[in-house]
Amino acid sequence: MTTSSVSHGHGPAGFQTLAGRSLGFWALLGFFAVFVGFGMLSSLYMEHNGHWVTGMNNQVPWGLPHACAVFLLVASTGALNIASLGSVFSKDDYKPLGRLSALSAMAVQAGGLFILLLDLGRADRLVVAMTNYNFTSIFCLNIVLYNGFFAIVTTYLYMMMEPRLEPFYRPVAFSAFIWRLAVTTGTGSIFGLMMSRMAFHSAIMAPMFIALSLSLGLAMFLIILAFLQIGAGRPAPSAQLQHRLLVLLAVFVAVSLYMVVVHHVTSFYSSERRDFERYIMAGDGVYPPLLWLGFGLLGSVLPLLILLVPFPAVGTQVRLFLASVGVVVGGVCLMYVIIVGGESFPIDLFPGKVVSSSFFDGAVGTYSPSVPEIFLSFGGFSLVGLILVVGLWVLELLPGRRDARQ
Amino acid sequence: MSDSLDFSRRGLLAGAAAFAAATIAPGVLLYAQPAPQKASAKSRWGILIDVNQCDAGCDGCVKACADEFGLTSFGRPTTDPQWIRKLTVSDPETGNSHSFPVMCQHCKHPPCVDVCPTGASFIRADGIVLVDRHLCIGCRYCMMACPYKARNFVHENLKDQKSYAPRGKGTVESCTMCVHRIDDGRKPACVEACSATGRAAMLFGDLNDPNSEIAKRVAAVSTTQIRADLRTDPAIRYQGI
Amino acid sequence: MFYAAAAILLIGLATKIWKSLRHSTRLKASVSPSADHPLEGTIRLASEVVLFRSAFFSDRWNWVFGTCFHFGLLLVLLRHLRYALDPAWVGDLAWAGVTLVQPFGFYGGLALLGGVLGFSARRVLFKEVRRNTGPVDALLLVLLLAVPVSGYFSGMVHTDVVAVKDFFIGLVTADVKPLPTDPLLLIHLWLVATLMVVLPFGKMLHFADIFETIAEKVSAPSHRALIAKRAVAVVLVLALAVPAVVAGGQVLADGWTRAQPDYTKLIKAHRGDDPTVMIRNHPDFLLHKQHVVVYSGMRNTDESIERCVTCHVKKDAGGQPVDFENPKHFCTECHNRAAVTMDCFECHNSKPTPAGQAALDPATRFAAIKDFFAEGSSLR
Repeated sequence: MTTSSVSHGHGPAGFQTLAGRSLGFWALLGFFAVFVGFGMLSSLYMEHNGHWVTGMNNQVPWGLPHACAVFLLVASTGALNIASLGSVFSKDDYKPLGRLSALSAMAVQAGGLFILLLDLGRADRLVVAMTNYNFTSIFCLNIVLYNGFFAIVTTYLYMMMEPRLEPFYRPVAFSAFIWRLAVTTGTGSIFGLMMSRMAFHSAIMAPMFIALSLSLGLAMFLIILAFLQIGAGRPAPSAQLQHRLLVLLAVFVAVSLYMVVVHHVTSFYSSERRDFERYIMAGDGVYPPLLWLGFGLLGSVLPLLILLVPFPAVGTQVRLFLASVGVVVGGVCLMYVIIVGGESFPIDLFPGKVVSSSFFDGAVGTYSPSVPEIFLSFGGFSLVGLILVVGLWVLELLPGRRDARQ
Repeated sequence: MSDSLDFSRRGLLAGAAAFAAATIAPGVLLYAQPAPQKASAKSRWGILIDVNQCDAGCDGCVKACADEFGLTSFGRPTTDPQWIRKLTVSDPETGNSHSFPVMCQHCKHPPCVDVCPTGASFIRADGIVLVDRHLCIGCRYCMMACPYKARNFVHENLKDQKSYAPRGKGTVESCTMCVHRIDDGRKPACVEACSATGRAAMLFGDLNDPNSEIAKRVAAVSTTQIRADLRTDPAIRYQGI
Repeated sequence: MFYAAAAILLIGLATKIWKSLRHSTRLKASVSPSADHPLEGTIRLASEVVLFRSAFFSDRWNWVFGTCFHFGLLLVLLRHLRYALDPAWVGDLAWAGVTLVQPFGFYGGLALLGGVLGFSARRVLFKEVRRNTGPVDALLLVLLLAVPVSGYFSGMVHTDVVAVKDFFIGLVTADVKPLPTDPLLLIHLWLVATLMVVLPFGKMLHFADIFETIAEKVSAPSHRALIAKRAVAVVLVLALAVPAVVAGGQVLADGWTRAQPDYTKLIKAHRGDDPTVMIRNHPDFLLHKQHVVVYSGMRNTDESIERCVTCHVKKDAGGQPVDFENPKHFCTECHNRAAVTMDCFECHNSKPTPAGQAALDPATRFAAIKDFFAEGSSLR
């Protein structure tokens, strides 16, 4: 029994919840809850003792948590893609997955914000952040955009679920799509608009992040689908849908790779930024392997091969899953290189000269993730899982009719 | 029956509306008070640093700043606060080398102010760039955005802060050009310490006041700003780089 | 008045529970008849009581507003624990919990209001609900709206919360202290009392229904009993309406000025004969001064936190000033009692500087405020 044969699937007969009875369900729920708890405890530990207990310092103020948070924030807008394909671009094959896509988008964004907000030096001042706005700051605009994203996607999901509101559904779907582009642009512009460091300040950052959101978001969504299939015994998507997803992922991964390549080539071309590019692409330290092997190989080339080369024995689903895992790993690596790699390169106060000081001018910033940061980052990913598991348990989001005892 | 209930309900609602209106109206009038002004755009405080007078072995300015603000080391150099540092700049091709202090440049177009989400990082009317620690949420975006790496994050619990310079865990800080001294008509601690050594490499004053010594000197000699190409227009100028 | 209102509420609640018990043939609750396992039945019951499970699957808007309202109410009640409990009764850890909940209670109140507004909208917009609406329902909604709104207003005029707390603790320990006479506070308390009286009448306190089975039909109360109940309610509400009108008039007369003193006179005023002026206004005063100092550069050490902690210094056994982590500290003592967090001293020094202490020798300090430094005074 396939899901794509369900009609537009807005009525309750076409959607169901997770049964929530199996041991595996409770184990997974417990697992996610425990690690969200650990994430919160880590944040409390960092807040109580001060950030000296982390690996972040005055030279490298943003570390692993920020790389993971930005990854999740970028992927969240992309996870909404499937819903947009169904509603905005009227691709009927994707419509049954629209509700799950909307919840995934919100869950992934919540995970990203969890990490970001709990790492703040004064996380208790969240209310201050929500009531004092400096609109020249892209961070501040992002606060508006992220909150708006939650509001719009909640409305969008409600529209999808409430048959009486069908006539108003398309404008909301369209707004969600436009807003999602704005959110990703905002996230990319955090780095694109910063003029202080050679790694940043580039107009290609925003489009690059949009391309990345497409590939990372779809990859996250496919992993979620795979887990639902393996864990909850959900029926597989139809062969036709699987093939379309394969082509989609391949295209998105290729476009992302293109953007990243163009960014680095352009940067390398200017003598001003060549030192930085040498550092990131061929220097000592962890960044070149993360860029080439992490993002380049695991995150782009291998997934493309897996998706496009017709290995006869390997099914489409396995390809999709393996490629998605690679893309996700590559995405985190890329964010780490962009953020941490970018900050660790010394600021060029006197171009052409060699500088040194007691404040580590001219020196490469040292950073290695500490245990609280690792727990916090993993807590964010766990929150994604927790929200998904609970959301699917109480709301009718999964396409198809409930069989006896899944 | 329903009439009497309606009466009490109406009475309640009328009373509620009446006192709501009475209480809000005076508040609206009383809140519109302008803040008193002392720091004004008429001045622009700046420091001129004569690199030729600055001795590589001297760090009087750094010590004075640390004393003035109680910036103690915790034995962890990467997270310890340092608002001013002695930068050693050498030319790899000629072998020439200088040393001079670098601190928050108090730019006229500060990138840190642009990127602060809450507006905690702000530029005062007289050009001093400060952090309003009541608004700072500790996101460290300004630290990323500063082209001079001038900002510090407080990584530890602090005690016994100076009463004129409150600073606390989880907020970002940087050189304030000793704003508490300037407001009192005195000079920044680093400038005073430098004068005390006899070298007088640092000169403080009002760049907007044509009669001030600093204004006359920057008109007379050639001075540069660090990364002038970024057009941040710092208030700290250097002579002899 | 409060004793009476509390008594009526409890009697009304007990009556409701007794009635619903009487009408049920089985004491075992079975909200969901098809629970296979006792554990599952317990979970279903728990999720019914805590999360209103059946409403989620039947009338979702009702569920949304109900959850919003009830969880908001929970947070508000937890916040109000600071008036009902003395730190000495519950211990430090529990009191730390009460302190932690305070800011959440503020937003809980907003959720509560949101829920009430939602319910009100529902009564107006949904036809079936509108048909089932009676005058008591409307009165309840108005009260449920007026109580939190008046609560926020009484906070906005900077009520002396420690005095209010002392009053309520006094009610419990039968050692009644005076209540601050802020009109808005009195209105809030009167509305709460009214709500307590009205609650047993009508559809509220419906958690008592959990003791009934769904299948059992509840026999309708007799018509005479109904009229009698309504008459009692009307008389009680009318009797309480008179003070409302009086208090409303008082507010018009008093105005807003009590909450917005002239900051330039505040320092002198607090050394005068009304210590509550500073208690009520010190956060605004300090933040105002901070703004003036940081943004305009107009510094005055006499109006700084340094001066506060220098004058209000407390010393330990060794004669050394204590810092804010010591419960004896001037600020900490009151803030602890009122369950209000204070993060000023994360950045500001909570002890006087040696220079400051030297400048303010006892003769200078005590000259202006003789009476407050009498032996055994709490410096309030």
